[in-house]
Amino acid sequence: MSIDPSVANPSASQGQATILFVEDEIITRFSISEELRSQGYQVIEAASGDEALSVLRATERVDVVVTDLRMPGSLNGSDLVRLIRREFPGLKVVMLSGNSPDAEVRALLDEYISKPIFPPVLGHRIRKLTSSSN
Amino acid sequence: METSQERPQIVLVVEDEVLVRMVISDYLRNCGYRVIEATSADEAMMILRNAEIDVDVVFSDVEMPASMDGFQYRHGCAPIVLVST
Repeated sequence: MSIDPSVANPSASQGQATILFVEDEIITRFSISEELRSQGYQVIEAASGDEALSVLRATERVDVVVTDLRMPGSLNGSDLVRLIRREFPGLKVVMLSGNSPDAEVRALLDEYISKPIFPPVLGHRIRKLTSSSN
Repeated sequence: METSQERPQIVLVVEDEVLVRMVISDYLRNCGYRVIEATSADEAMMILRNAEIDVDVVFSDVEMPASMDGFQYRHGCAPIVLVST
C-alpha cells in the first residue's frame, strides 16, 4: 500500500517529533499515546513488532521508536530493535518494559525505561533524548 | 464538531491493517476527534465495556482476525459504522 505523505504526515512542517509507540495492550497503548500527544508529540500506534516494521518501511516520518519487549507475532521487542539497527540506523530507540532485555539488546538501545512509568515522565525522557541529538 | 465547552467526540477505529488504521486515525484527529485505535473487534469490545471510556462512534472494518468480525458487536450505546470493500 502506498501512503500519500501529505495525508500521513500533515504536521511534519510543525517540527514536532514523531514517536512510533509499539505496545500490544490496548489500554496501555491508548493511555500513554494520549499523554504523549498532549505533550505535543505526533504518535503512531503499533500493536506488534510486525506492525511497527510495516510502518517504518512505509513512511519516513518516525523519529523515535518506543517499544515493549514481550509482544505477540513474529517479532518481539528485541527482534524489532535488532532489525531497526540494521535497516534504520538513524532512529532513536527506547524500550519501555517491565522485563529487562538481555545485554546485547540493551547495548543497541538509546534508553531502557522500566515499567511502570508515570506517562509525563516518559515524555520528558524522550524530550531529553531528542534534544541531545540536535 | 464541538464547542469549546464540550469534550471532543471519541471515535473508536477498529482496523487490523496498521497502515490503513494510521491514515484513518490521523485524519480523524486532524478533524478534532479523539481516536482510540483497536486492532480487532475483540479489542474494541474491551474498550466498549470499559465504563470509564464513553465512545461516541465505532468506525470498524468488517473482516478481521480473532474471534469476532465487525458484524458481531454486542453493544447498545454507540452508533457503529461498518466499512468494507
